[in-house]
Amino acid sequence: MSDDAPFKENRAAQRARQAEADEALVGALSRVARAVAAEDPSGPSPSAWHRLARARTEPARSRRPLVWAAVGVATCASALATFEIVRLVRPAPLTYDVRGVAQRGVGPVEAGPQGTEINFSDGTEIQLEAKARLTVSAAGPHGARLRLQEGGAHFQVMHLPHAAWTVEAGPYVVEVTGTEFDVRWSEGEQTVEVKMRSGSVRVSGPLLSERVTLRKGQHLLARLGMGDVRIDDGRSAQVVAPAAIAPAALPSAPPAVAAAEPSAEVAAAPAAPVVLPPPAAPAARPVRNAVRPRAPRRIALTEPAVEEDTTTGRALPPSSPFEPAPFPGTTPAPSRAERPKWSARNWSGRVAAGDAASVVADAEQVGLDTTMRQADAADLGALADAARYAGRSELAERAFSVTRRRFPGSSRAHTAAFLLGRMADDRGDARAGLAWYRAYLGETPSGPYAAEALGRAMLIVERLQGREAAVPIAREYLGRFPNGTYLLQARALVDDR
Amino acid sequence: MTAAIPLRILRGEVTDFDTDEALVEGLCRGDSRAELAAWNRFSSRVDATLRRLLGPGQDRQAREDLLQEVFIRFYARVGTLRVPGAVAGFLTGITVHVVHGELARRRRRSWLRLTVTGATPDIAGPPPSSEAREAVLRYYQKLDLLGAKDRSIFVARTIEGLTLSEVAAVHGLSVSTTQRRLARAIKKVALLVRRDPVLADLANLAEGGTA
Repeated sequence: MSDDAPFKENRAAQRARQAEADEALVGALSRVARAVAAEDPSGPSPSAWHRLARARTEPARSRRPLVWAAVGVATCASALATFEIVRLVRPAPLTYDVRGVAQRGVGPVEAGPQGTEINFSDGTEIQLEAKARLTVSAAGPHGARLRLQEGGAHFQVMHLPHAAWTVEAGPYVVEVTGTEFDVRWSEGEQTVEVKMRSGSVRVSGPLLSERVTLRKGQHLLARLGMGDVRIDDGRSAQVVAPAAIAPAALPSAPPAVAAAEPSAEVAAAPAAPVVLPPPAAPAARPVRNAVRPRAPRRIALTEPAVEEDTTTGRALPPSSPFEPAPFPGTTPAPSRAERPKWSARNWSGRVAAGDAASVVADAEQVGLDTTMRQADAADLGALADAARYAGRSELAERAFSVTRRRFPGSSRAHTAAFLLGRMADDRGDARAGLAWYRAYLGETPSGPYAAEALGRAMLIVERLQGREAAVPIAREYLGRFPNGTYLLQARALVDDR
Repeated sequence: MTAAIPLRILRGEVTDFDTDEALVEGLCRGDSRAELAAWNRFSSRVDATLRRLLGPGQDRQAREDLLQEVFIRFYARVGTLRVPGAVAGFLTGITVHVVHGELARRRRRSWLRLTVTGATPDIAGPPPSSEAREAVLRYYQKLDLLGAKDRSIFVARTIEGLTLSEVAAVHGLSVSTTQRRLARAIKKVALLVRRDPVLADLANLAEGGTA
């Protein structure tokens, strides 16, 4: 077609002619194709309509059963292969034997009059004292969760990589990586005792505001009934925390810790015994460990997840903001006689109806102390909301604080942490706000306020510590909440580096 | 060859739906007589469109399966038809869609080697009855070398004769994109045809005949 085309013709014209030729070529062939198609007998066969009608009355039946069968087989094979791979890659859970009888999975073990020995497949040994009762709550490849229901036991946990053992004794949790120790729990006396033989463990539970690290030779005795906890090295008392005080008395309690100071774990040193004065005494202060001053030592006066500043009435932020609140089960339930009597007042409904002022008035009529002590979680939360809406921020903070103390680990407690942070942040107390946000994120990383908590924490860190410090938070924010409210600020922080 | 007259099923009072508007109204009401009337009125046309889109040598049963698929979709979607008088175009659009999907499915099956030979199934049909049929069969085989969508665009425009805007609408593309893809497909097909002596001869003959 273009063999004799003049060389001077520009390329565009050549392309246009080429396109015309192409179109003519395919056009000619397409005409032939249409003609050939027209030669075929026209129209479908007479049975086509009947097959269509039948097909429409059976719409649910798959028309490609073989394909779906193949897909099903492939899916099953894939699932099987995945299962096998996971099974091969992931080691099997530990097994154990009791009195020489192999056990698998979970189950209770009750010691006889002479005691019982439990041997785990990783070499860990537990010797139950006579009449002691222990339950293997869960067994994984690197450890197990054990619950000492009554009596004493000697634990000799093998120190292996990734070892993770927990021993629950009443409301207390002992975390172990590899060590030898004794635990005793008395359900009747509500007393827990941990005695270290070697290594270290971490203990958390009521009367301990943080996880306490116990080392070789140390001894922890917590008596819930009396409200005291004692840690000593076997020679002298190191810390004695007095009895828990009633929630209503908390606002008058002294501040327990400097705000917003990220805490290290409490490391109890065997030396330097300290005895705390009673809580009502004005001098009651958190104890700072004399041996390890860089690791602030705090022993709570009760089991508060929240402490309050009596001078301002405001809730003090958590000193260990990344540490989650204790599990609900770790707080001793009040006895039946002590259990407060509270008839639900449906305050949440009144708050929802916009009648916040009447809820606050109602609470004041009942008595704020009584309300804080007896109200159920729903009414307490509603009171906090009503107080916020009514501009009674101090009352709101108090209600949130009590919520966290009385219902630790609950979603309301988590939400209270965030709202306490936001209130502190909004009134300009950035450090306290940051600590609360971190507490919230630590307790419930995927909670409903996680995006806002992380975004606000990012801004506070930028303000307090500079852009560089905020960049990792910004990255985390962008990764977790790519369409979040603080997207632009986070992106600006990351991009402007 | 004389085209055979298709057998019509004259059951029911199909004369009630003598206009496309009345037909669409009946279909929207779910009137089974309207469904039969639509079948009688459009099935041959749709079948012819299927033959053009698929090419010669197709198994009749397979083609009628597609025809059923077209009508099942048509009955289900007729309520979305904005202009009742445009039933034919609406059906053509559905047909192009169905064929596009079917050819893409065949390609996937071919890729997965679900056929013995690995060749696209149902394409190779009975031997052609004439040189023209053989050439057209080769032509469609060249078209199968295009991507599924490009082939659909090409056939809808050059063989089925839809306008550019109709092709664009059927394929959910803008007119400019359709034009660009069509130009690319034409260029590729022309190149393939020129490399095939049988097709090149037929094209020259056809061009000469129509010139």
